[in-house]
Amino acid sequence: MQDIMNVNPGLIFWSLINFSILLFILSKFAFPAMKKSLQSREEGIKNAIDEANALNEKAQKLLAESQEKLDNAQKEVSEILSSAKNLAEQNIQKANEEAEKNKHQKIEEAKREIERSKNDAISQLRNEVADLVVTATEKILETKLDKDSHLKLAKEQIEKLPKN
Amino acid sequence: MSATENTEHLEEEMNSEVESTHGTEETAHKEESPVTQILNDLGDHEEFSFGPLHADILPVILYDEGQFHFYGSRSSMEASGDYIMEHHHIVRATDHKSPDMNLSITNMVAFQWMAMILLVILFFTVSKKAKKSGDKAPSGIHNFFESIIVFVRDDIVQPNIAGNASVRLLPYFLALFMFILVLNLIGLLPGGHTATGTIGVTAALAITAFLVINYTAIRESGIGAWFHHLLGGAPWWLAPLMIPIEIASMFIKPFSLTIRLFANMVAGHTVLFSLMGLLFVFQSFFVAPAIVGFATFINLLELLVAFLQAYIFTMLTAIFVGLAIGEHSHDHEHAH
Repeated sequence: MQDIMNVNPGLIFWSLINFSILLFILSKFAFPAMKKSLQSREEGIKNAIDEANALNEKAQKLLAESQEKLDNAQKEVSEILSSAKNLAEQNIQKANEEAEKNKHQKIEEAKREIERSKNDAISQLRNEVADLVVTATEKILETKLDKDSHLKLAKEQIEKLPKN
Repeated sequence: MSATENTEHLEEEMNSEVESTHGTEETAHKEESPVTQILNDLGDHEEFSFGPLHADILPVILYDEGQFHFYGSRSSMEASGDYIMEHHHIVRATDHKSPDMNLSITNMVAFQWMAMILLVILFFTVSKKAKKSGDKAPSGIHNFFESIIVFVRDDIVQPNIAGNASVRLLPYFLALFMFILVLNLIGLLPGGHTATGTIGVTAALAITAFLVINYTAIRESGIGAWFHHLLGGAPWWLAPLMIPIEIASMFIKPFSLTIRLFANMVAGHTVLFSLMGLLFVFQSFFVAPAIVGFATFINLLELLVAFLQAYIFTMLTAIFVGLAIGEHSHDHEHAH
């Protein structure tokens, strides 16, 4: 029991000296180089991470920008498309309206033409009838026919007329 | 693992112990019980011993009656006739009393030298590799030691010690951690002795901790704050109570460090030695498997304890340093 619980002043003294020497040698000759390499590497890693972060940020910005551009382009395209569609619709409507108008005009014109032709025909007929009557009268007067033959002739002439 | 070797080691030790008691002293004291035998084996010796190897090569340095006495070894000391060995202790040949001070290089000092040489070689190798590798990733032993350095820095020193002091004190904590760890591990080698299992060594380490704690506190916060700290933050009229308590705590901290490391290292080895001793008590082959298995388990546990105690000693020292500095900066904040 006595040995192990003994506090040996000599051992304390030598242990202090040993530890001091160890601390001195290590901190003088071994630690600085290790510390330097550790620090430079840590700095390098930190720089690399910072750089990567900066690059990432830049890339993010670029991405956002291009996304925005893309969105704008899309919007523009859809605007153009819709305006073109509107225009086309308008054109079609206009064309339709015009065609309708034209048709009405044509029909109107045709009606008028028909009317005019009819009037022409009627007036022609009237002239013809008058002529016929005149020629018939002339014939009657030329041949001096009897009352019966007059009548017969007149009847024949009238029958020649188209029924109207 | 080394359980069987430990057995051999113990056997050898017992034999050599018997031989040495016969060889050096006429008054052979055979009254020693197995317990004292074990505890004496764990303690310090004047001769170098590693396993079965016992060598009387360590110089004896004595300070007695106003002058120093140097001897190349224990036997040359005895040859000079001034001092003799008695019950493993150096005593005067004339009146059989201990000399005033025994500053001999003992076995544990030699084991510290082994640890120092090992550490210096390792760290110089690593430092050379560090110089060469530069910014590149470390490899092999460099990588291993760097991870230890980073562990001590990031998990022990920096969380506890604020500011610039943590940078300045890192070499101390690193050396402390590695020194304790290597001493613990050397003690686990078959036949090795655990220097951290003697109060002298742990007391010396705790003394450095005491010095570092108070030196750092004074340097970082000033001597006024250091005295103010003796109040422990209590109002001034509690001073008669607080100042003795704080002064006591100043000394209790390193004392607890001393005892904690010492007791932890001794306890495991005592258990190991006791288990091995059971073999000699029973003198039977049938108990051997159980004892060897259990001893192997304890040995592995000791491996854990070796790392754990090195960590705890360093961690607590860092905490004490941080407390000694930290309370000042806390007061400072209040003052502003």
